[in-house]
Amino acid sequence: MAVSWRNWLANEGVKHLCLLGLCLSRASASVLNLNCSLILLPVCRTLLAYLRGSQKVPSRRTRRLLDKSRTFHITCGVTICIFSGVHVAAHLVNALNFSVNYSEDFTELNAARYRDEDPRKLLFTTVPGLTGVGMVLVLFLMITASTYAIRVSNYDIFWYTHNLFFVFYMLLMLHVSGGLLKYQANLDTHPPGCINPNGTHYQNVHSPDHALEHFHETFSGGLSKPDELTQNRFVNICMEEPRFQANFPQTWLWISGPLCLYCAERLYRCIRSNKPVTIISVISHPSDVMEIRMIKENFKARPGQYIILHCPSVSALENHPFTLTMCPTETKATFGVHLKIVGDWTERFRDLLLPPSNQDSEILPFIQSRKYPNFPWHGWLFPSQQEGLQLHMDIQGVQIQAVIVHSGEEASDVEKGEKQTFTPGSS
Amino acid sequence: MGQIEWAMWANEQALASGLILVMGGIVATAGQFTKWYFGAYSIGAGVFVCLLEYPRGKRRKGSTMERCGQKYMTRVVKVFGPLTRNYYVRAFLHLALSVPAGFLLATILGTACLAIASCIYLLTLNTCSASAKGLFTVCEILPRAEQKFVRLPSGGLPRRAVGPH
Repeated sequence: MAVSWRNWLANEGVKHLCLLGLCLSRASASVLNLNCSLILLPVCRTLLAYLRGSQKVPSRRTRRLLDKSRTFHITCGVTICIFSGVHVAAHLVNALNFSVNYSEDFTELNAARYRDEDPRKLLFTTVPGLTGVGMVLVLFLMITASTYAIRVSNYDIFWYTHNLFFVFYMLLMLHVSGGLLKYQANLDTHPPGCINPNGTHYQNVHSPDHALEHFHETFSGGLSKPDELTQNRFVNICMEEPRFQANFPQTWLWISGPLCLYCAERLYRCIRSNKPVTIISVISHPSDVMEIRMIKENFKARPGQYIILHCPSVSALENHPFTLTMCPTETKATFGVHLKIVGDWTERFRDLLLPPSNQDSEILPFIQSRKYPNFPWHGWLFPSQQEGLQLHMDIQGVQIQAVIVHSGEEASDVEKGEKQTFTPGSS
Repeated sequence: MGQIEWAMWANEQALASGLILVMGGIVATAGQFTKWYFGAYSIGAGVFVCLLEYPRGKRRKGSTMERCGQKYMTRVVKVFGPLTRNYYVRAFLHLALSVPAGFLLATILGTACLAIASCIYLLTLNTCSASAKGLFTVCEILPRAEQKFVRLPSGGLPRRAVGPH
């Protein structure tokens, strides 16, 4: 928010109706603007991985700072939660004051239409009120599902509710577009606190305002700006009625940048994840561990990075990260992950890839690794038909998409890719 | 969907709703709203809901993280037996408590939040399987003494895999 003295004066009008609530709500709104924009930056994981792995960030300290991105995101979230509480409480008091202090002199600034209007009506019949309630409910759902206990025990709840952030941002954009926040456009001809020669004296209604008025007079008197405005303040004569215009929604400026950046990143991740990957072997290890070896064109990764597997045949919505246990090298393009079968997704994935009769096998490895040619729009080569390996044939349309995301160096595998669907028996 | 334990989330929501009710009540009474007595009710209802929901119930499988100092409230809550353990009772109790707070602006958000928590408790009852209905209607409060401790592996590396695999 601009802090020039002219801006302060232009916003003095509402103080006739509500002072403390006004200050608290606008101050907390400023904090919320900043946090709502900053919170999106740590979740741009591709960008962070690029920064972390590039030569532009040579310092280890900076890399460690980038690793703390999740903590920063959580801190911003907690701050949004606290200051939303302050903002809502202040606006509740504002709504009451709009209703109780309704005056015919300030109808343009008042959200209420008549004296003692039920404040609940103000909440539900104005755009800022309705969107505000919507945002509080969305925030309530997101925050209650983001606690450590819920994340550890039921990650799904956390993930699905956290995707409501988009609804929150849309409501936020509408919240500030209501035009309720106004500033005075004709300060020169109607300085705050002036006397109307026709008889109406724009006297301050609340006693604290006298102090504020005195403060403003002192402030403007201390400046060496002999313009019309200060001269009028000393004389205090109104030359015309006050005119008010709605403030430009600054929130749009704050959040548009990070929101566009995040949307661009999601789009990039989506495009990149559509590239094909071929599973060349599946190996069952003891203790419910399964190893999957895959191959993908132009795929580079470093030790320590992880990939996110998405298998629509198992679940259309779930993505699961797995650390790479084998990285592609210059001579061998195969990469692999080891999965421990602990939950429903990994169980169903295992059932899809390994026949139930072979899951209890303790022989390690019972499938020989073989490099299969990449068949676009084909299924797997079913090795048991050709070489007598023990891989079950009944897999229907298994589609594996792999995306590399990590806070380290980003795996560079950018090229055009065709979507590959694995269908059985087509080879 | 059947794997998700909605009751845990409902518990978190009810606790947060209690806090929102208390805050709304304070704003209403301190701000001298016209129907300030609803604000006073809201503070009382909020404190009651917070105390009731503070002990975290036991999960169906896996270990449960206790809240700090919950054992004291657990003893009080257990005294009321099935009234506090049953999810049906909790759902309708929260719904009933949330209604009076809806008459005042300052506490209306608390009403909405507590109503949502009540709906999630009802969702808990709907999603549990018919055979396990008896089990899922009960929220078991886990005393600290019953927590399991993981046996640390002994011996030096390399060692064979042990445990319930």
